[in-house]
Amino acid sequence: MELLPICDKALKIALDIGCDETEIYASTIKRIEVFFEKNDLQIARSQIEDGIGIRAFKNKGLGFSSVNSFDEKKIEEAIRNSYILTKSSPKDEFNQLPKSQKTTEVKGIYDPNSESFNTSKAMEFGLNLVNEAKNYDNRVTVDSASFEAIVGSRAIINSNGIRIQEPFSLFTYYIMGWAADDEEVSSFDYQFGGKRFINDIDVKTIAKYFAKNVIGSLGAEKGESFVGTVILSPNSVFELLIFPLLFSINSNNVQKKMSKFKGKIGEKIASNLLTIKDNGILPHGLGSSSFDREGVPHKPINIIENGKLISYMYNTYTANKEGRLSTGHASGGARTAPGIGPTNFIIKSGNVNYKDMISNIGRGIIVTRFSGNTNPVSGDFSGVVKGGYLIKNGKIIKPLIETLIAGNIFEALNKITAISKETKWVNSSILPYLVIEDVNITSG
Amino acid sequence: MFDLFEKIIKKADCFTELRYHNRELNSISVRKGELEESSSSIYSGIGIRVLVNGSWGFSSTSRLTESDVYKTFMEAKVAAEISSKNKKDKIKLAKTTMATGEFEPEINDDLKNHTLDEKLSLVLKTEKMMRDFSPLIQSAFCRYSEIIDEKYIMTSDGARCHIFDMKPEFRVIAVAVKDGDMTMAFKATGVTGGWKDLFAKKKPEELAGDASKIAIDLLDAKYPIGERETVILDPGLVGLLSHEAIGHTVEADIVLSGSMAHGKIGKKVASELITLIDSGHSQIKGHAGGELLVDDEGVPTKKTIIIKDGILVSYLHNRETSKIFDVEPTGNARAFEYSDEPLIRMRNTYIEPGNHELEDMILEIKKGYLLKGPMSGQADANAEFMFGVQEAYEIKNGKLGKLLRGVTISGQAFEVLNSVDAVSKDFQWDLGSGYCGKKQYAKVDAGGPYLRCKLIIGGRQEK
Repeated sequence: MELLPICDKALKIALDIGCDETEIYASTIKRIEVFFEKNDLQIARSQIEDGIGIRAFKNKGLGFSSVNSFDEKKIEEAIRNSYILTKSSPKDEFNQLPKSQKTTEVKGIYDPNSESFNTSKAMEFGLNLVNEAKNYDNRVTVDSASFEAIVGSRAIINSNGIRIQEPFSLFTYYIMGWAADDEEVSSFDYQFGGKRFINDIDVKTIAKYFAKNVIGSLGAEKGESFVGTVILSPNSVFELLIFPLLFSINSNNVQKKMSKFKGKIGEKIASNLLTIKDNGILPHGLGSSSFDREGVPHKPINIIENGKLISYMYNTYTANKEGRLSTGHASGGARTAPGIGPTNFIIKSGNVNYKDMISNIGRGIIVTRFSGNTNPVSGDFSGVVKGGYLIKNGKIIKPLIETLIAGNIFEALNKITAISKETKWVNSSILPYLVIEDVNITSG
Repeated sequence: MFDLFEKIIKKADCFTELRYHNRELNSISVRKGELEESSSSIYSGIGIRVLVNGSWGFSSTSRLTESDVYKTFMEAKVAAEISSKNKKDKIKLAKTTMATGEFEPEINDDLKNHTLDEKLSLVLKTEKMMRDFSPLIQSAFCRYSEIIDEKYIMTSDGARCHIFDMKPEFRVIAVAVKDGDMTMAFKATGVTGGWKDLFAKKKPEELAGDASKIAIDLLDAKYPIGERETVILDPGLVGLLSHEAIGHTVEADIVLSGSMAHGKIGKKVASELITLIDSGHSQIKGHAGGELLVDDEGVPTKKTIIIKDGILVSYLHNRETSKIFDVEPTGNARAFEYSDEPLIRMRNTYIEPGNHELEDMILEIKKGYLLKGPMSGQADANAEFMFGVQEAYEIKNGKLGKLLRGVTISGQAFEVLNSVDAVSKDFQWDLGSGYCGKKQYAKVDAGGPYLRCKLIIGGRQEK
């Protein structure tokens, strides 16, 4: 669907009624989902949604409005609302839209065949996902599972000359549940997968991985309490580390003095082994697109290099405050004004095989999933280990129950002693296994 | 809208539920003198759910022409047909009297009577008031938001209703800093109703003053020592316990997946002083934030008694689960927006007031705590919960003492309700600014009287 002509018309109306600077974001999405619950199909659903978001400035005052329709009258009403809001808003000199820059098209985020993807096809993938897990072992219980296909397009234009549209497709699937054997119930597990192209979809691998995890955690026993080594799986790296890291490198939190990384650019904040990039133009990346929510081109950014903090994530507003350029991290959709968020957040793989990681540990645990609280300001975390395993003398001894871990994220970053060669997509992050020393491990 | 719906239903040869939902959402937020958000959004469309051979199909669209809506109906139908080939347990719906007519809650002083300028300057003024309260208040936050809803619901088995609703919210956060130590306090109000209803309990300046004072008092507060104690919970914490730790375990879909409340109907699950209710209406006091006159399946809501004098008497149902349990639907099927299908959700959840005076309840405690202000909350399907508490006051020999900080409470909710030995005469709704998340959001409220019970206080050792 051609979105740019709709945006052009809207921009003209906004400038005609008196807005100084205006940005029009438009998107159209078709979504198909099949959802399973308690080993059975719950619902098949589909959705068509159009959306337009208007950000306007008048005398440096901000106004934002949105409407989920391309109806001309509704768009005009939304523009008027946005204009009214600008007039009441206090003047803020940093309210400025980005200028047009050259954008390189990212490859592999749109499969033209996805336009004809339908519910029958989604059902086939969904059933394969659930059946593969159930057939692995009849003790597997699927609490819920979903297969979702999204195909759409997004466009952005602004009064500074940005004018760009890009189509995309995305297929995501997850499965969660446990294994039950007589009275015993295993740890809960969750596995996620995503692809951009229909031919790349592979639900069987994650289904098997999930089934293997929950069956493997049957027969769990209490472990031991000690301060020691943990191996975090890509899932638990995501659950434990990614949220506080993203919070701390968000320039808005840095500027509002809530980030532990304030004033630490160029300083060592983590183990030399740790390198993190955010790369919005990674071909086939689940978080890839050519431009951000403000139309600023995406490009690879080093966040942490060999333990040193290199950059925060900026959108145009926070960049203006520091007199620099946005890093292309404006995030969000049509319904909200641009925020700040990552694209493909990548922890660089290391040089150790996962198997060798285990054999190098004298006493420690594997954390398959983490469920608990992390305070992003202080970095303190504590929570329950799901799918935990005890390691002794380089060997997995037994699955664990009732095990808690606690510590501080910012200290833990400095105690990473190994990073695996293997990596896995978790949402739009690419994450390896990490070995971290000196974690408080408590057996309940 | 009904004309369009009738055309679709005439062509349908299966159970069909049509729901048009227009949502207007306006919000303003200010942090440390800086306007962070001033936005107005419209989100409207039609969600269509059909049942074919015992299987659901759902489809939604933001395009409202007759041909687009018919296409959406066909999408839902095809989805249901494909599903029915793969669904093991076939769905049936309970028959009940469906809602017809116009529905609107009591609104005193329509939100639209107040201009955006007025709302914005109130938010700016209130945020500044906190920073002016004391030099110790170094940062503050204030947010006003309003949800204005209009719905048309029609089903092929008789629902035909037109619903209006208005839910404003106002919240403040004060951050106090001293000697590198940082504390935070939060106050909020949210109602179903108008401008006058929003500030009926407390004025903006009172909320700002309360939050500032608590944040500053917390700077000098010490941490408690973890132990099992006799405590008095305020209406907010009673509401959170009722909703989060008990309420979810009695949602019939969660019961079917094996929650703590499974198989407990007719059994004693709490002290006989406890009667716990979930209602679509505002009981006892008006303008509760989770008011819902008709649910999103077109079933009129009612007052559902969950626990009566300590005995579990009902779960919360949609039409599908009420058929399975062979009971009347309770009107708990809710969809957050047009693009969501209805799920079993709570509305206004509370414990009925009793006969005790709060003062006497405190007097009778030798050693314990008065706990006020729910912060974060988590609970599992086994009713084990952990909540953060904003204000914890020591009670020694019947007298209120020092304020403590960093207090969390935990326990098994049914055991906690079994330990209740006094219920006060008071009643407040307190969670009207809250949202509940379960695949989608829902606007809910909760509250109750003061309760005296036993639970685990978690803190840390003295610094």
